[in-house]
This record gives sequence, C-alpha cells and structure tokens, in this order.
Amino acid sequence: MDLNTEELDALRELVNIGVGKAAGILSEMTGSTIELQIPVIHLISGDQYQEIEAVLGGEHYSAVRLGFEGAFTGTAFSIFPAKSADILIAAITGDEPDHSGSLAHFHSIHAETLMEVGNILINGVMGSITNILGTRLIYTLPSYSEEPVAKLIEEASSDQRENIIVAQTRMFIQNLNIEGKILLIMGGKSLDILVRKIQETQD
Amino acid sequence: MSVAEFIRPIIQFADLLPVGVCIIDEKKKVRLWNRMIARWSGRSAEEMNGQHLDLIYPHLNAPAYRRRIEQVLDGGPPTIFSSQLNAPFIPCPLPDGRMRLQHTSVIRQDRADGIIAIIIIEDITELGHGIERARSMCDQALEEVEERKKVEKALLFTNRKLQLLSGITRHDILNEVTVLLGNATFLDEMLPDETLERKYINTIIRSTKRIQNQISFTSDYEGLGGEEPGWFDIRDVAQKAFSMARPGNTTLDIQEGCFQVFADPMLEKVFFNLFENAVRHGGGVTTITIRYDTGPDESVISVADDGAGIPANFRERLFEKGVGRNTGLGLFLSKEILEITGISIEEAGQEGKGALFQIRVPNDKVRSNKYP
Repeated sequence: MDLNTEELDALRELVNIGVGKAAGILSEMTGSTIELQIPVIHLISGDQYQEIEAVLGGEHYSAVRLGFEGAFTGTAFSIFPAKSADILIAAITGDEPDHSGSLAHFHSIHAETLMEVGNILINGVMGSITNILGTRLIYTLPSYSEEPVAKLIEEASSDQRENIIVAQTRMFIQNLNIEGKILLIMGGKSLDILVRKIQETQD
Repeated sequence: MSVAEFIRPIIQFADLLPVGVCIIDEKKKVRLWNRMIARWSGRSAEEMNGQHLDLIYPHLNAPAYRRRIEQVLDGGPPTIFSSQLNAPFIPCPLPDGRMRLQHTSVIRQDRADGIIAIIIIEDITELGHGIERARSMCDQALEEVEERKKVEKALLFTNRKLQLLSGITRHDILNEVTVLLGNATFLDEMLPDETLERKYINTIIRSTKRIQNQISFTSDYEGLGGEEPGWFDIRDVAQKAFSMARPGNTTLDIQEGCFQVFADPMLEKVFFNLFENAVRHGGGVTTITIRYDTGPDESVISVADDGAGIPANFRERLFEKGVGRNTGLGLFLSKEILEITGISIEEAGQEGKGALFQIRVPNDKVRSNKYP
C-alpha cells in the first residue's frame, strides 16, 4: 500500500504533535531543554528488507517495544542507534559516554532509563494519533531489547509485518545531537483504517 | 464489571505479590494498597484507601508526574517511571535512611463504572546499589591503572637515565681497563721469568680481566628483558651461536625440522654460553648434539657433549652467580634469560660421559610451524 503526499503529511503532523509532547515531558524531567526535530516519514513494505536496511542500517539498536490492539493493531518501537543511546544516557545520567559504538557496556539501569525515554516518545506519538483520531487502543506493557531492526521486525507477528511506518527524528539535548526513530508496524487492514481515519479528520 | 467488582477478588492476590501495587481511580483516589507497598511506605491499606494519592504524596502533582499519569487515565499507553530519571514514585525509606530505588509502571484499566490506573512498583534497590558498587570498583580500578601508568612512565624515564649513565660509565671503565691491561701486558713481556715482579703483574692482569668480564656482564644483564620476547627457531639460533663460539674442531649436530620457542631475544646468548663452556672447559669435546623431545606438558631441548662431564658436587651450584671456571656469570645469565618466558634449565649429565643440559619449555611456548 502507498500513502499519497497529503496522507504522509497528515501522518507526519500527528507524529510531530506526539514528539513535541514527548519533548516537553523529557525537558521537564531532565531540567534541560530538549528539542525534537520534525520527523521525516517513510512507509516501507515489510518484505522490503533491503530498503529497511538502507533506511535503518544493520546495526544494533536500543529498542522499546509497545504492542497495541483496537481499531488498528500493530507494534510501535522507539529505537536509538548505539552511539545515540550512549550519548543520551550520558547526557541524562551524567555517566561517561563509552564511545565504542556498541551497547555492550549498558547495564540494566541504563536499559531502564532508555526504556522510560522510549516509552515517553511512543506514548507521545500513540497518544497523539489516538486522541486526534478519537479512537482507543489496548496496549501491552513496554519492553526493552537491543537488536538489529530487521530482527525486531521479524519478531512482530507476520500479519503485522506488511507495513512499516518509519518516523525519523533527532533530539537535541545540551547541544548534543541524538538520533531516534519511531517505527509503527501494522498490517494492511490496520494501515487502511489508520489512513481512512486520517482522511476523515481532514474532511 | 465495576471497579469494585474488579478490585475485590484481586486484593488477596495483590497482597501475595513481591511488588508494590496501588490502584487509583480517575480522581486519583486510592482503591487498593497492597501489603508490600504498605510495608515499604509505612502506610497501611486502612490509612490509604479512599485518600487522594497526590495529596498524600504531593510530588505526584508536579507536571512531570501529573501529565503522564493523566495521559494514562485519558487512554494513553502504559507509562514507566525509571529510577534514574525520577524520584521514587512512592517514597519508601530503607532502615538506613536511604530511599528504595523503584521502577514504576502505570497501566490503565477501563471498567463499566469508571477508569482505574494500576500502579506497579518494583524495588530495584539491590540492583541499583550493585551497579553503583560495580561502578565504584570500576572507577577505583581505572584510577589505579592511571596511577600505575604514571609510575610506569616515571620508572621508564628513570630507567632510561640509569641505562645512559651506566652505559657511559661502563664505556669509560672499559677504556681505562683496556689501557691498564695493555700496559700490564707490556710490563709482563718486559719482565724476566720467575721473578716476584712478574708474579705480581700476572695477578694484576688476571684481576683486570675479571673486572673486564664483570663489566661486560653488566651490559648483557642490562639487556635482559629489555625487548619483547618472540618466537625463535632453535636450529637458526644454535647455528649462529655455535659460529660465534669459535668451536675449532668441535662439530654441531642439530636435529632436523622446525622447532620454535617463545623466548627473550637473548636466547642466542644461552646457546653461546653452553657451546663456549663445552669448547673451553668440556675436556676434549668433539661433538655437541641438540635434540628435541615433546611431552604432554613440556618439551625438552637437550644440549649434550661427549666431553668429560660435570662433577656431581659442582652440579647443584652450576647456575649460581660467580660459580664456574671462568667468570661464573655465563650460566647464571643463561638461566635468567630463559626464566623470562618460564623456561628452565638443568644439567643432567654424568661425570666421565659428557655434559647434558636440558632446557625445559612449557608446551604453550613451543611450536613446530613457523606460520601457525
């Protein structure tokens, strides 16, 4: 399924509102001004792994996962590349960044912190989508893992893997440039419903 | 199912859980306060039920908490409060006055007569403190490494200065010794035989030669361990050392094949000392034989000659400094060179049947292929 420019713009607007909310919460929590860049949206077909790797790379990501069910069903991920996760943790906790480009040195408290940051981002975006579309979803508890994106996607159920909405953004904390992405993985029917609801709000 | 119907059957179950559980309604009134959170917080279920949670714990009214709790109650996804980014959700002091570290999840539940939020609090104090301890140990180890690096740098600098000083001093002493030896030799040639003066000058010459040997030994000893150990082919090393030892009519018979050992670069000096001793003091040595033997844990390089052998009473002190027919330093130095990489040497021959030196090498310091 393809989204036309208007639909992509509307989706970007929804994600942007959510990301803005998340930035506000993160700023309050950390006491630092956190700005999030307007996201760039791609729609990738789940079987186009080459394209996924081209957009997301094959590296390990620090990922927070949240499943949702309801009017549309799928899995949301908030993912940070290792280098960005490292900088983010250092900026938030004051720990020394490792600069190794790997997540091997992360311990469970680091993971817990990243899980909260990822949770705030996802909640901002999902909250924004459901509020504007006037729909309610049932969610799983968020979980944390460190894996390449292709592996994360593989773990979603096969009927959800049909479409991947990639919202790519950058977070600026204390002049640090941190890359983060939100992935929404959903089946064709769910994406249809989402798009229809977006169209309804535009009419 | 109403809120009350939902809560009633889970009260007993919630009391069994090893986590803190609190359920609040839309107005943030406490509807369930389990045994664990009561124990941690010091507030009983009777005291808490029906109370506004944010009145008892006003920090939950701060925007960072309030907005996110309300986001859940408004239908948003579950939210997480981590131990690093937030003060404890429900402050729970430990007996030592510190606060329990908490990981809190807030999850919404829709009921027929209202909405509730289930707050689950996990105590991660031990985990957090364990990580703090590990971090503190890591910091301490890093500090020690830094300190050690500084000391090493200072030692290296001092060592270089000492080497320079000892090198210059050695050079100057050897120059003077050469002059002394030359003049003493001239005097020896000028003096008539069997005179007391000749006897004295010969004593001077012998002592001066000993000084010369001692000074040369300090140069060798200084080089010990100065360079990184490496892999050396025994055949190449032994042949080179043999040619340096001025063997005369003595022949060297080395086992064919590649046999390498991981040793100090002064390994050649070991073989030179063994060969020189055999040629000079071996008692008519005609052949020196080198053989290798690999056992389960170690390999043995045997250096044998067909000379007079070493007396048994001399064998025990053979590798001590100053013991020997010449300077008494060669075999001492050889043992020291080998020990750098965990190799040992002993003499196992029989008097009258020739000397037999056995160099014992751990098998992880042996290889039979140049490019493994």
